[in-house]
Order: sequence, then C-alpha cells, then structure tokens
Amino acid sequence: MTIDTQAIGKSMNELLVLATLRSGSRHGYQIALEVEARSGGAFELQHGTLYPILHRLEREGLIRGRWQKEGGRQRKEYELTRAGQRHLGEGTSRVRETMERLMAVLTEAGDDAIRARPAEG
Amino acid sequence: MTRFAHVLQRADRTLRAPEPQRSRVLLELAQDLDDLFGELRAGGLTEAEAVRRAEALMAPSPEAIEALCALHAPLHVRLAERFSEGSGHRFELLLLIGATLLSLGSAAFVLLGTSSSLTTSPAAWLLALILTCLAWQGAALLLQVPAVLHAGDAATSRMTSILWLAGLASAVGVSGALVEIWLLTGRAQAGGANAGEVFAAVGRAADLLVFALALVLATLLIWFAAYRRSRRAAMYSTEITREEAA
Repeated sequence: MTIDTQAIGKSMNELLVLATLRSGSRHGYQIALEVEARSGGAFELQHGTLYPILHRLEREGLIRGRWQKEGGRQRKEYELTRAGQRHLGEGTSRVRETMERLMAVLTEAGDDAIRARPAEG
Repeated sequence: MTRFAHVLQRADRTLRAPEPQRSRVLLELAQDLDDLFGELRAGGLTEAEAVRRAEALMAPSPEAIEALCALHAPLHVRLAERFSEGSGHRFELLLLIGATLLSLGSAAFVLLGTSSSLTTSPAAWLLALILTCLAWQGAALLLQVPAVLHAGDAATSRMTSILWLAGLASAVGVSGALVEIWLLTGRAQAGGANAGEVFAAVGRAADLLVFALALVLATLLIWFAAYRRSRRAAMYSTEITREEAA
C-alpha cells in the first residue's frame, strides 16, 4: 500500500480540529486555542486558517455548525457528527501507520549514519 | 467590535461570497475575535497584547480569505474553478468546446436550411431577442477587456447578466419546444393534423432546442474565458497587495 504523504500533511489540520471537537462542542476561537494548548504549542492554527477548515468540514458533513443566541449575541458553535467520528478514527489510523513506517525508515538510516560516523573521523 | 474594525473591514472588502454566507462568515469572525479578546484579557494579558494575539490567531490571511471565497462560491463559479485547475479537466473542457462547435454548426445548418419554418414560432423570436441582448452584453464585455485584465472582478456584474441570459435562453428554448408539441397534440386529438404538420411541428421543436443549446453552450464558453481572465487578474492583484504589505 502506498501512502500519500502530501495528503496526510494536508489532512493533519482537519484531524486536529476533529480531535478537539471529540470532547464536546466548541466555538471557533476555542478550537484554535485548544489545538495549541493540547499540542503544547507545537501546532498553531494562525491567521484565520481555521475558518476554511471548519467550513469545509461542515460542508462535508464531518462537523455541524449551529448558530445559538448567547447573552443577546448570535454565536456559532461546532460539534462532531457521526461521519466526523468515523473520519477521525480512520485518519488517526492512517497517520499512525504513516508515522510507524516513516520512523522505521528514519531509524534505519539514522543507525547507519551513527555507525558510519567513527569511520569518517 | 471597533477594536477589530480594520480586520473586519479588510475581510469585508476581500471576501467574495454570495449572501447570506458572506454575512455569516463576517459575523462569526467578529464574534470569535471579541470572545477571544475577552478570554485573553481574563487570562491576564494587557489590552494591546490581547488584541495582537487575537488578530494573530483569528484574523484571516489573504490565503484564508481566498480559500473561503472558493468554498462559498456559487455552483457555476465552482464548476469554472474545476475547469481552471491545470490540465486535470482539460478533456472535459475540450468536450465542452466540441459540443459547442457541434451545436453552433447545427444551429447554422437549421438557419440556412430553406425548409425551416422556425420563424413561425414565437419562441424563435424570443430567442432572437435574447441573442441580441447576449451580443450586446458580449460586446460590452469585450470593451471591458482592459478593465477585466487590470481590475480583476470589474466586469463581474456583466458576466453574471450573461449567465442569466443563457439561463433565459434555455428556458425559452425548452418551453417553446414544449408548446409546439402541446399544440400538435391538441390538433392531433381534434383529428386535424396531417403528416406534414406533424413533421413541421416536431422540426420546429427540435430547431428551438438546437438554437437554445447553441446559445447556452457558446455563452458558457465566453463566460468561462472571461472568468479565467478575471481570476488571473484578481490573483495578480492579491499578489501585489501581499508584496506591498510585506
């Protein structure tokens, strides 16, 4: 089986958003903050990149956006759908498999490089 | 809301999407900026720091706006985008060009044919009127070519009106053909239709459909060419804005 690494990279942000919504519904800015907090600052959805992701996931039926009136203001809240849960599960397996295979390649190459180093010196 | 007015104004200027999606995107952005600002302030950041952080996180970049425009674009624009995507859909585009040429050829054949009794159908005169309007709009669009080249969406309303005329042409063509068949059925039921009249009525219905199809396909091709040109100009303009901002 061939792994499309470019597609994995593109879907990473989508998976991060879906994973954040697994624990309950959130507003857009809460999703952005939580992605950053849960990854220890490693992943950031800056410059409004969150909105195209949210709206695409909503169109694909993976999340559901609902307008609610809170404190006299209309605010949009997102929640994960069943299809989104399935997509998250499949995506997580795909990323895990990719990482395992990538690490197998890198570890082998890294070990070879370490072994070759004393000979070079 | 006023502390993020410049962010919202920029998004308002650049977000090309139909209503009500456009207003909803702007409202969502405004609410998120305000709520995030409040949360950051509650977390101990100064007002200036909270504004800077909220903008860094939520204010959409030109790329994000472009992605939102593509996501919320009307169906015909999304279809045009599909054909614009490199060579991936070149075959479909060639098929469209081929079908257009074929239908234009058929329309010319019908027009030049001496046996055609198309002029007796009121729908044919309506189609001729639409064709005149299309020619006028097309000529105006051609005159706007420099504007389209330099100002991206300068001719958007004219391009949209061309699409409406194409839609009208298809409606007139189909309804005209249906009326011909309906009249023929009425005559046949009354027992007053001979073979010659049947052939003439079916021929008129077919001619109307051929004309309408030729008009619609040719218009779609012209619209698509203008759209691609306008899109390239818009991308060029965005690039210049980005470079200036940098």
